[in-house]
Amino acid sequence: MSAIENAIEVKNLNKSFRKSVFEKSKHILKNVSFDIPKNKTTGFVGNNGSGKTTSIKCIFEFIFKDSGDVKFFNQEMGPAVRRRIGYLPERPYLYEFLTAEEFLKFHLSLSGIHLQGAALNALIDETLHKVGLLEAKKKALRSFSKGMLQRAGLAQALIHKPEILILDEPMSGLDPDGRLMVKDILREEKKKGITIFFSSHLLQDMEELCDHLVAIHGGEIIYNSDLKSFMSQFPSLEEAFRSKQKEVQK
Amino acid sequence: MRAIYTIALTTLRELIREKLFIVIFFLAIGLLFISVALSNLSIWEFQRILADLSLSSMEFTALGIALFSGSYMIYKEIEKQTCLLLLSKPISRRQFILGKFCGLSLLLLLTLLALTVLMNIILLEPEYILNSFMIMLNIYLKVLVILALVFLLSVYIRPVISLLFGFSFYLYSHGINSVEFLIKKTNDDNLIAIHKVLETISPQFFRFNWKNYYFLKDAPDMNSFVIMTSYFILWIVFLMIFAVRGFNKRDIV
Ligand SMILES: Nc1ncnc2c1ncn2[C@@H]1O[C@H](COP(=O)(O)OP(=O)(O)OP(=O)(O)O)[C@@H](O)[C@H]1O
Ligand SMILES: [Mg+2]
Repeated sequence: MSAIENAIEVKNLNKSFRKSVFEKSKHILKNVSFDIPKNKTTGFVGNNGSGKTTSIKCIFEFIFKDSGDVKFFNQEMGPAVRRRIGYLPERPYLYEFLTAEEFLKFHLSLSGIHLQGAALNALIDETLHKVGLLEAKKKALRSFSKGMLQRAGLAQALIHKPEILILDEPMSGLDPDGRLMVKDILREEKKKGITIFFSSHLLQDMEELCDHLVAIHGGEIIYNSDLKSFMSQFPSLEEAFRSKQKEVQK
Repeated sequence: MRAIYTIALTTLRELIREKLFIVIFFLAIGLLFISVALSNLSIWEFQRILADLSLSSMEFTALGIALFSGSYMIYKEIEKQTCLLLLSKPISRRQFILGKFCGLSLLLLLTLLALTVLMNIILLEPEYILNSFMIMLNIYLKVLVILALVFLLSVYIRPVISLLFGFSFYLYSHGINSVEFLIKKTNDDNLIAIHKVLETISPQFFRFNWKNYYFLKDAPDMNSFVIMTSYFILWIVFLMIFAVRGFNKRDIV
């Protein structure tokens, strides 16, 4: 594995949750280890409740791991690392009372990029155009549909031109056009050499886009290597994934 | 610093656009005008009643905003996961929560300033102007202590509970004197002991309650002004340090 440099390395991540003081804690992530190779697109598959979102939240330190180690280009998580990442959460609820334009300006500024005037407007327009929201530039986010919010969330993840994109179900809530748009954006970003990590239930999309695959089942990683060899004996990723799950369940 | 400023301004913008505040704001203004209409009295009585009413309505408007928005603000950010987007950026959790706090503080300041200016316009008494702003600052700082308290609480507990707790705390801190009087009457040693502890750990609002007409005529001297200001600022800093610490350790699930 040392031939490929990894953008992110996750080692032996463990996390337990306790819903309340009275309940027993539940072991959600069990020694989760995987890599996200640089300049590649990595898919993250797993059933509902298998721990995808929890893993991603641990990577960002939104929730604190019980044990384990996460490295970004061999660095610990911190402001310097965050500047290089674009993130789309699972349910992008955004500040409702901002317009799309204000929303992007706000996030750009928090990313540490302080543009002004024409350069700022050009970047905003370019990004909104990319996600198909240019018409809605002056509209408040509260008037947006679910899919439009998803697009705004994606715009926010792209605008500061990050080196790594971490997207939690970027295709959910989108119409076929929207899904196509996201796929095009991901392909384009990959061409630019951006490292992409995204979770999805849509194995068809994943098959089209990914080089690398991380599969999780019941909080345990069941696969972490390239996609081609994963589905070598199967006609589709769907079937390969099913068979792998069955194998693990035994 | 820049991140806190950016978050504060965006928070302020959000809050102003939320209709709730516009409603509360007009309610307060309406109250002022009603009080004018009611005061068909001699000039002295008129001024007295109007001043008392408007100073109280200022305090309760600000307290209401602080309690409701303060206790729900961080909770909503966590519940709706809006904070994830911000925290994925190169800003710290401390900057995030301080930015939110400053945004709400700015809203409170603007509201109080507007109401104070309005009151002065109605009273039309140049002598009162400086004093009224001193009293406004007193109200503002008191409310900020409560705001910091509900921020701290809402990191740990449900917003309704922190709201109620914040309100009881406000009442208690104003009425420590009367509570003490009542408790001494019971002659219950346990109660007296509990009260002693509570008293020492509560901000002494009752010592700095400038919300009445008397202070409009005779402002507190500079000395007590400085003491009041530093006393409340220390409380705010103290509470916010713990709010930041709590938030730093919290899982955002
Ligand atoms: N706050 C919490 N307290 C207790 N358990 C939790 C909490 N959050 C999540 N879980 C549990 O953790 C497990 C993993 O959840 P997670 O959200 O990571 O799954 P996921 O793979 O993202 O699923 P989905 O495909 O539905 O998004 C689930 O079994 C869930 O019940
Ligand atoms: Mg999920």
